[in-house]
Amino acid sequence: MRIARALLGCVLLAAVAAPARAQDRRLADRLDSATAASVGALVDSARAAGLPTEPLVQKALEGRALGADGARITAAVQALAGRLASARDALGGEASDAELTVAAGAIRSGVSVATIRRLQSLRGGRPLVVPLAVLTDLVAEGVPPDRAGASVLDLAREGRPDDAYLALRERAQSERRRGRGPAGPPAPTRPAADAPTPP
Amino acid sequence: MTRLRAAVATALIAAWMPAAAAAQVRAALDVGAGASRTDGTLGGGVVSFAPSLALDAGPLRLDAYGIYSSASAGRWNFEGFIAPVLRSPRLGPVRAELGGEFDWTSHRRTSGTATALGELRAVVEPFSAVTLWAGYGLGNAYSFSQRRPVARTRYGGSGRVGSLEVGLSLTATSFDYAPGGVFDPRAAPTAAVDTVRRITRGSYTDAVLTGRWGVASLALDASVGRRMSRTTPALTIWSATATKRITPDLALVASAGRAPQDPVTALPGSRYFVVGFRVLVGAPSRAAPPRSRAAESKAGRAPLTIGPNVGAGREILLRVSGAHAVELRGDFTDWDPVTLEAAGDEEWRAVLPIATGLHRMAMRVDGGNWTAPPGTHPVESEFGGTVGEVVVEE
Repeated sequence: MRIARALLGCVLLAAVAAPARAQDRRLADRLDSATAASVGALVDSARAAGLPTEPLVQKALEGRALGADGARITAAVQALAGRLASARDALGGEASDAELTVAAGAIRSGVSVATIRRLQSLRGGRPLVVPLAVLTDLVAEGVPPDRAGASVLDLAREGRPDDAYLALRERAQSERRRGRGPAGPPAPTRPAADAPTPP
Repeated sequence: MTRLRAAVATALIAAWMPAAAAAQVRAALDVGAGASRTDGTLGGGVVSFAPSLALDAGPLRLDAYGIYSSASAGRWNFEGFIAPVLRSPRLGPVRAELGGEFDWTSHRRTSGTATALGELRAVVEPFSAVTLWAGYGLGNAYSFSQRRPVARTRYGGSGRVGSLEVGLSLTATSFDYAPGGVFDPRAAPTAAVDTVRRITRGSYTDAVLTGRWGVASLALDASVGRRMSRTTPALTIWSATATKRITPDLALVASAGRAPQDPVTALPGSRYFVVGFRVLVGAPSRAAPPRSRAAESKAGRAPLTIGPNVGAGREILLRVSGAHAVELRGDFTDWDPVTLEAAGDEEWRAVLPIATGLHRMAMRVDGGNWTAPPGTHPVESEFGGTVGEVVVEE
């Protein structure tokens, strides 16, 4: 029995260690050894804190693909880990990896942690990916974060389904497209014309 | 009759109320200072205050602004502009618009000008990111105590390429005026009277290319154009504006350009440079009634579609016109380039393992530069360059 438990322990240890080694291999293959080590340490810390680690690895790979140096890659991974931690603080330990990554994106866009926390409270346990995605997209469309947050919280307060959030986003995108039309928004970025001169 | 009018007015107000209740209003105040040189003058410093308003309520859109400028030697000028537009329901990719444009000016010690135009437009949106329009308008301008009939024909289009929005417009304007005299078109129906009263027809065409590029809190707007005419001087028109959002309600704005003269009202052109602040005021959007996703998809093929997870991954479809090779890389490919396969009709596809959540990606066409794919939100990467973000929701 003792031997069986030891074998099971070895199998579980191998199963847990295998993905970690795979991540390490991707970092080691693409990054210089110092950067791979510092990013690896951040990934290990995130794993220990219960945060999703794949976004951190992908952030490092993005930096490598875009030709960034090791210091910038490490700083970006560290910043993302901080946002993921803030997202987890707002949403709690039950949040899915998808909810955490979208919430971290919303925080980076300027959405407050308080708004995310309030949204979760109003949603009453229903998934948050769609409302958070719409919130992030509204900010990307140019809606100020506090106003985007107020609109999304209104829907959550009314218990509206996900389609209502998607409709809100569609409306914002439609407004932006209309803004490129012939009537266009006013752009008073010049001084007023001087007095007319006789032809 | 009075009762009938009251009934009609009441019906119109009742029809307007639901739209007004759901109206979206945005307002801004620009305060700036800089330099301006009106054509034919020496120029000097200028301070400007420019409130603007955009209201959207169902089929009605209203844009309005005013500019008050104080220049050297106590000179001041004011321009006001209001443009209401009534939009018809869409018929497939087509809709009609009935618009009006009213602008007027006031000046120190000089009489001002006014212009009123009505315009009927056809607007087509063949794709989700492309808009084409054509319009014809008639109206009158008032300047130097003359009424000047004006006709205007406009063609244009706009679209989005990655993080860049571009537009092109052609505006042909013709107008009648009597230099040095008072023109009354009701008293001038014949060529003989025209000769006696020296009625002149002026015309010109403006071709203008516009672009807008925005990443994160920075937006750059630029336009360049050329005025072509046999009756007024040809000239090149341009403008460039940079807007940097400092807080959600405050932005720094810098603008420079060559504003054209208005031959219809004889308002002179100018060269200017202004730096200032924009204070934004606006109500949040309210949600529109829910619509089905099927209805959304009928509105036009999306430039980017990410399908449901089918075990092997999700089908990703990109619409790219005129390409021979399209590559994609992102946080679902370990940022390794993946060559998409042609799926006909300007569509490119691949099946990739994409989890639910926020994703970043970039595309490359025919070995060119990596850029944000259409249909994603372009963002400036921490590492330089632009990538696209998209949230996979289910």
